[in-house]
Amino acid sequence: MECVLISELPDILLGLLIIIGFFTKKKKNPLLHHRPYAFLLGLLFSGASIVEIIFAVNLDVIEFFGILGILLIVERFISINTGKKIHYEYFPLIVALTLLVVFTFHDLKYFHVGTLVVLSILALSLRENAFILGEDTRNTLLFSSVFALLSIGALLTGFNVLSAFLYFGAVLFLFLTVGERIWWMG
Amino acid sequence: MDEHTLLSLAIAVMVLSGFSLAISVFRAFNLYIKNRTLEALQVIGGLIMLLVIGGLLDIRATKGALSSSIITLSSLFALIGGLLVVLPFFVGIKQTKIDRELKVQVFVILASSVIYSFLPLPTLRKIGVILLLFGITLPIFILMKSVSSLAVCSRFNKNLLKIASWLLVLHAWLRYYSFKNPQTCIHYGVLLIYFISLLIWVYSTLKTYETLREWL
Repeated sequence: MECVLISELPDILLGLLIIIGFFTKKKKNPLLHHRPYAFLLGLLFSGASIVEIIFAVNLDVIEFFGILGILLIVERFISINTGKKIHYEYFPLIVALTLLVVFTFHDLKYFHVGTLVVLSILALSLRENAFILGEDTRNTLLFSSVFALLSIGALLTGFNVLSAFLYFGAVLFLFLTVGERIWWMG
Repeated sequence: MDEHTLLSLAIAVMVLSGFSLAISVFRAFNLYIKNRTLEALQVIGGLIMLLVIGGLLDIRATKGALSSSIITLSSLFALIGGLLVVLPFFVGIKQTKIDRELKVQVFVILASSVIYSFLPLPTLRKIGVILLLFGITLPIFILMKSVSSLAVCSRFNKNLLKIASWLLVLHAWLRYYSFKNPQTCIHYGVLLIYFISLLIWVYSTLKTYETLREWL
């Protein structure tokens, strides 16, 4: 069962989070404030999803490379705040894993698995360095990561709607965790 | 297991997560209130909800259809379980405000039962379905209000719970259309509204519980 609108809503939400991050004041959000790549990535996600809904084309490849860009931004953010090295090794591993899945299933839509893997790693990286956003974000980031992993399982077993629901859960928890920090705390 | 059953399982897990977090919030308060009776009643209520939701899922997965007697019995147990979980927030903590917004929302949710009378089902089954929906929806709704009434709940989470409660009201009215169009995109769209409401409820209750643990 495929419901395009439901499947694309989480991507639109993710794009919205990034675009809002671009416009939020620098004091609360030094990471994305007025950075051109943030605006472009946000537009990429939301725009690609809207194009997918209207024209029924598959743009999961573009979204996958987009979220790799976001992972790089977050890794850089963590590196600046903790002094730890950026985990560059994640990128070739994720790309290799995703390509393996795509070639196994012979379907470009499985680039979405890569997007979900990145989302899970993103949430776990932020959780590992929870002191940056606040220790109370640990559990909500864990929920986000678990939802993303379950979504992968659902997608690989052919349950597209279930995968979309769980993906939405992962994005919403991440959106609310980061959003609460950016918009309400400082 | 088909996709619809797995989706129902995901939703059931969210509902039960929400209930366990609400129980955890009360248990944190109970370190000071020290009312073991209310705590025990709440845990019993939570277990009843677990049995009802788990039982319904199991029967639907194995037998496919639910009989009228099972629906009616489940709805009664859900109402009792829900009442036991909600009661300590009113009797123990006493911070839940029954304001105009809550009264309007409860009235609108109850009014949605009118739409279900158009379902092509026998009367007893219709009553059972309506009671079951309310048995699960109303406790969730009142728990949202109870948690948002707490002083430890931040303004961000209070606003989120307000949004979640109105999404639940919207779902109560749209649920009829998911009965009429089973396992179509409309059906899943209506379920998504419910799922979003539950996600927001679980998020806000979790953050409130984390804040409470830091304070206490």
